[in-house]
Amino acid sequence: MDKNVSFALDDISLIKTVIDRTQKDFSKISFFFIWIGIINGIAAIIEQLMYYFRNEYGYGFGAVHLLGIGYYWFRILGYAFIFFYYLRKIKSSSNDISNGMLKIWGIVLIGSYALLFLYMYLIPSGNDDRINTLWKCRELIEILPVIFALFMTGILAQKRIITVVTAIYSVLFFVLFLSMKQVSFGTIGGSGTLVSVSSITIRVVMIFGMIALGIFLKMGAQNHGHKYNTRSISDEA
Amino acid sequence: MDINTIPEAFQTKLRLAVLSSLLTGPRSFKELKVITAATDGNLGIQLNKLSDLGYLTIEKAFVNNKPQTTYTITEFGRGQFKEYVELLERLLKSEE
Repeated sequence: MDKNVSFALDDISLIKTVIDRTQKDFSKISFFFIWIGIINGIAAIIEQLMYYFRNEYGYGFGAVHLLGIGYYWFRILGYAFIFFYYLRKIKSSSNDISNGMLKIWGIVLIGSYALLFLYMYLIPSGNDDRINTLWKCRELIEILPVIFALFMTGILAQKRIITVVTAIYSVLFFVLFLSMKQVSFGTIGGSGTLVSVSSITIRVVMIFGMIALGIFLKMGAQNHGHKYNTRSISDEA
Repeated sequence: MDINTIPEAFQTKLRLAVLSSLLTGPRSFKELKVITAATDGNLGIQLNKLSDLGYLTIEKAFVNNKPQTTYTITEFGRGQFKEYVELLERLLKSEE
């Protein structure tokens, strides 16, 4: 093969590799997931504080109601703020895959939460089996879009491990959801309340899962570099 | 542009890698370092050279009280890159 053709092939391969790599650089979006985990972590502290005050001072205590509402508002406002902040940041980088991934997560997190608010508003008040079942079903509104977004993230990032872990978790979630197993939750300062194990796994995914996903994408961005030599084409010719 | 008049900017793999990565948008020094895995010194020299040749612009700013340098490919650089890719295409076609 002509040396010039060989150089041309080398250079085309290099250009393709670099452009492909810049599109698969998820370092900018990785902190978005870490922040989602942090927001959910803070929300979990707010929730535990609410249980603590409820256990100590009873339902009538003002802070219980305030923290109960604050738990939901903190998450939706946190999601919206982080989403728009990163959307602006990603726009300047022209990274189509990261941009698409961020939009999917924005729609999933904010959209599912808006739907959750509507669901909780429409749910009838009371404490019978029918209402308890409806109340339990709100878990599905929260987690199904997240599972969908996790699968999409795995496909877009071409990381099979994300898809496999999501598949395992979704099976585990449905087994736990249908088993209707319950444990005591919010036991600081009292006996707490019974919540389903499946809803606890949602908290774990939204805190530790999101942080782990962010770190994983960040690590992937750091590991994909390759050294390029500075040999001159004309020297080699 | 032909095989005997390839501009200096495309005569090293690192410069070519830098220009390729800038095609999809501006990048910071740190990002370019991750993409190319080049050493600070080598990358800095090549970036300055590309800037001197008019292929990219350098913008220095403070982000969260930390200095950050952003590199953007110029219209001239983009045009030259296009010509270079066309030259590579011609070379491959001539082989066929």
